[in-house]
Amino acid sequence: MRVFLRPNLARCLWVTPFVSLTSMTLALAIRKAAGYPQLWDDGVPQQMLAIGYISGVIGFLIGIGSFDTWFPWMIGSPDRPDDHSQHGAYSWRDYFRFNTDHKVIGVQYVVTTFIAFLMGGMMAEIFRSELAHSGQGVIDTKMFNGLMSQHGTLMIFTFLVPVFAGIGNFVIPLMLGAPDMAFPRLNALSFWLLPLALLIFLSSFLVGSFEAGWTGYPPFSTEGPMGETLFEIGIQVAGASSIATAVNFLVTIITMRAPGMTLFRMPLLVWANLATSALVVAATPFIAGAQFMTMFDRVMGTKFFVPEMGGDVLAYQHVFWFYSHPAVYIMVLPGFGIISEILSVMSRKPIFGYRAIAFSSAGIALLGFSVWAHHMFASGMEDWLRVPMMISTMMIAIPTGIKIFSWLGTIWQGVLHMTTAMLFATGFIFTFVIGGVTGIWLASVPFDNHVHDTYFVVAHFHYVLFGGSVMTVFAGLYFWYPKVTGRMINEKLGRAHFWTTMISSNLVFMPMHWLGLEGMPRRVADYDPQFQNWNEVISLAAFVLGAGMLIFVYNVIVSARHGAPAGPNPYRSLTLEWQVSSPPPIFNFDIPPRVVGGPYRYGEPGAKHAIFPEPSVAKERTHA
Amino acid sequence: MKAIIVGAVGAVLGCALGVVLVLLDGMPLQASVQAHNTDWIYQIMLVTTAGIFGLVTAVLVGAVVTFRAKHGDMSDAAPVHGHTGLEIIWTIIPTIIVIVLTGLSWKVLNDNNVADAKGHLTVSVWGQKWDWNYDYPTYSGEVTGTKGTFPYKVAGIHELVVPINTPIRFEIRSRDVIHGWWVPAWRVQINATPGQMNLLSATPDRLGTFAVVCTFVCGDAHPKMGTEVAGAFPSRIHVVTQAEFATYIAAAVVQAKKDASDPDHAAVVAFSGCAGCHAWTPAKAGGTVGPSLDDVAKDKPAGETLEAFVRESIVSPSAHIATGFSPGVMPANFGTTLSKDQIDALVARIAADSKK
Amino acid sequence: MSGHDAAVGHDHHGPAAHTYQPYPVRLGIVPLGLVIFLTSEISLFGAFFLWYGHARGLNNLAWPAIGYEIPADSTSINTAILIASSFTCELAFLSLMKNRRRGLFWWLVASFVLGAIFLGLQAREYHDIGFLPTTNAQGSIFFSLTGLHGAHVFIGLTLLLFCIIRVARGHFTPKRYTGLLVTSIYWHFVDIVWILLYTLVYLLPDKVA
Repeated sequence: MRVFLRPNLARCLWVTPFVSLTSMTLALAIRKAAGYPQLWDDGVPQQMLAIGYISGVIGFLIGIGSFDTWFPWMIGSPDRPDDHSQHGAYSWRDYFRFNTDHKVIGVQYVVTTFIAFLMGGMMAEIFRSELAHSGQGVIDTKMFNGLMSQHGTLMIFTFLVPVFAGIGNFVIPLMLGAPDMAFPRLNALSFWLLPLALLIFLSSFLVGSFEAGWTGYPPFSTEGPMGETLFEIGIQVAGASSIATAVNFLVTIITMRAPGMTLFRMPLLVWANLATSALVVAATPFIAGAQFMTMFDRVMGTKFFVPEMGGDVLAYQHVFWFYSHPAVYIMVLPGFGIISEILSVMSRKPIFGYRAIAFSSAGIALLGFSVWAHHMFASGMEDWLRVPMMISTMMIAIPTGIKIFSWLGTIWQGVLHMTTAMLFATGFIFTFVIGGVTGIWLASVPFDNHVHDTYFVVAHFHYVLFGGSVMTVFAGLYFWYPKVTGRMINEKLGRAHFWTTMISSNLVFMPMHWLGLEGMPRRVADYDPQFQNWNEVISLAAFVLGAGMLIFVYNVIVSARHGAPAGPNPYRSLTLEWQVSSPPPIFNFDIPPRVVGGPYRYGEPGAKHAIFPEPSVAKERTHA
Repeated sequence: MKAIIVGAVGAVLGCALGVVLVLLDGMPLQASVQAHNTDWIYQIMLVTTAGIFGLVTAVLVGAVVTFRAKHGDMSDAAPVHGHTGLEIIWTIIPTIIVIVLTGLSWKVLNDNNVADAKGHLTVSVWGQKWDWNYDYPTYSGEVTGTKGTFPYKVAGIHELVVPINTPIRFEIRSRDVIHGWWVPAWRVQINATPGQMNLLSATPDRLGTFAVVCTFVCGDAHPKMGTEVAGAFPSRIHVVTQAEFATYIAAAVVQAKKDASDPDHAAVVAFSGCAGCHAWTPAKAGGTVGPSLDDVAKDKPAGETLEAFVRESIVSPSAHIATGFSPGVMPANFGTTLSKDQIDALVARIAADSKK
Repeated sequence: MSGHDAAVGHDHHGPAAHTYQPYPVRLGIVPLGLVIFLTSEISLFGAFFLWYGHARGLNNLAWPAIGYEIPADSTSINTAILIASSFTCELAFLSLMKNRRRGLFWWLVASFVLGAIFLGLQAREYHDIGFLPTTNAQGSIFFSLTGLHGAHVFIGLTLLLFCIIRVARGHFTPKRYTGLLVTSIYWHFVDIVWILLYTLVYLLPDKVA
């Protein structure tokens, strides 16, 4: 029975419903005490749902043990020295509890987000089979809208945004020469919010899935089924998770660098993460605000988006995109960092134009805040905003271009080792350029006024988010797989995975451009028969794309057992994460490193990024 | 140097690819001045950026092919950390390209806007679930007959007639949620946003009939809203010659005035909100999203008058669901968006027709 | 603030990670984390202010709604009280620096009481104001902005309460004061947001009027 009292998932089993039900009862009691005439009027189930879920999240966090040390600390109980019992993974069970080790959290993040990725992908397969033929087929419009909305939501909020937090979590403290993140408990808490967000989104199927897309524009979202409320709550939970992680990254990068690790000796992934985290911290609350407003409209009957009562429908889009455009950079900038790492190591050549790449990340992050309204060219937005937004959107192509050209400069005249990670990195450049150039077209207001909200836009952002971000995620996973597991991943299967992904994804997303230009709107369960042919191709290729993912899953599982032992540094990389054993020791560095030079000094004879000073001196520091 | 040659060849090939794509022409028929302008900027962007794409791809593929490590090669490359001149070039050239593209787009944006052009025709567009309604504010007014003064307007349900070579100013509003009004052949689109009026303009320059497509997800029948999918009630724009339009509108005004003094007029006007989904012979409507209104009597529960049943079905549509249809599809707010007079007239007319 | 101070939180927080501070920083990690988090808080208020600004500035929302009134005059008392509590909080900090325990305790209590009075007066204003969040969009945004701020005041009060308990238990010295520093930064933040909110929501006159 003790298992139900210690902080773990078993305790969550009773604490979560307990807190949830208590809150709902309390709310009903307050309703009754306040003398509301009807205890159960129309809005009440909606309110109970919101209260139950929000308090359930808190209950779960209490159950898993997020607050076990904070509560006593806050009220000033006597200090308890930490026994590090929550730190590190000694068996598989340690991955299922509140663990403060950044490496464990990194793995937890990546696995959770991958489950979300596969689910989102599965939903896409279902509605692609509906779209394979014109006319009503497998699912009805309601179901289609639900799946389409879930697909976008899961892919964005529970896959692409947090997966980079996962990769960063594992790699960045190691790259910096730090023993962990700055706030390990906060780190664990931000992770455990993520599976909750996933469950909240998925459970909306039970009460009527949200249909307004991942954008949730009112008034369609404010009048939708109850699932829409769960969408709004899920966004808050996922958003809280990503803000907490970003704060953690920023503090870690600012304060936890090893001696000698000046800003311009940081690996570029760290730079990318610095820029991304700044974006997350400053931008994410805007989507929280937007979802608070729609939720208040639904649950409490406020009038934010009721035009007859002074509501302002367009303002939602401004608030929403003020987050959601920077979110696009949140989803690609860390990927850019990953690519910079891989290209340099695999080309045995220093990165071309280190400072230009570092500053272009910062430039993209800054410019990213001034382009949000390009999503609203056709929404009836203020006319005077159009041209400035067009200019700033076009401008953002410049730092992005600098990055791409610098990468080409890096691989040119290198000694290219075409591992799977490198294949994905180079494949990424190819597909991302396509997404980039259509982005320039869409920035042009007159052109956007033709293809806005059509399949052209769907094609564009899938080239950016799949051809861009997902390719970098795979590149990163293949690249750091030996570090995480201590074993090499099967390259043959990796190459098979790359080529199926590369070919089928282009077959899926390229024809969508023509469909959009010709006149097929997005988010439709049914379409004009004239678009039939391309849709058949797309659906067929989508199934191949999905099957390709199975190769990856198989490879990851099997190689973890049967792969060749990797050794600490299979790629002869200079950065710090490769200077420790694979998998790394529980506290990362037995000897704290001293950084003496840049991270990409390949080809300079005897050049070093970091040295490890005398153990006797170092030991004293670590365990002080 | 080699890199520059490879890049240049790639850029040229890319531009050639762009030209091929322009010639293949993925765009629908051009039917307005805006379509010509927009396609012009589209083609310029396509060729320019295809050049960039070609350059990147050529260098990428060239590097992968040329500099691939031989098996067992453990050497490092020469430690080149950058090249300031090259970096400046690849900052400046893209900057120039995007400045030019921005300038051209701005010009097209201004050229496309004819909302305040001389001699424009104003059309007001109403989006609602799941249909478009049109009227011409210029051809609306009041008519005084023997029974009093009635407002009249020339209105179109899901079909609109406009003259060719005339700048048209569309004033777009929504009655419920956000819809997107898109005429692919005209290359113009804007959302119908509740609580505000959005402006759009176009100058049609080709005769014919063109589809209107809803681009914004708006509920169950969204895919059927306007497009020609099976079971939908297509929303179309007919572009006619200016002489034909003058004839059409003169007749329509006469008809509208006549309708206005007709007691049934209120019903017909109110019915414009129903036509997207319901079939009804008196208004020549054939929607199939909801049950046909020609024989409402067959779904009437026993022990209720036909009038009461029709009224209930308008005000609270989920109270009784006709066999073969789902609840929650019909908007529940007609009780507030229609006036009492309109509902009365509609109920009387539908019930009367059904009894025949 | 020194690198040394950064280590203060660790005795409570625990992991060895924190004692590992190879790179000297000016600001301790907990206050630094808080300051970064507060930018995020500013954005959260920013989201509601963006709606408010768009509705009033571009959508011509009448402010306040016709027939209603926003009590700018009586709320100036609240404003004064909240600003005063920021000063008392800072006085508590000064007392700590001079190692005056009694002063530290009572100035903290004073800040807490002033904050609580502020919340009470806000609640009273809600009761008397004559409209609800559901009345119209003006009501929605008014209650959201002031309510969001009120929630922050409440969190600040909780933090102050924790500090008071810890002071009573003899915590904090002139060299170890992370918890107090964090609380006071947060409290000043709440105060600054209120000044902005009071200016924009209560004082900014309607274009029409």
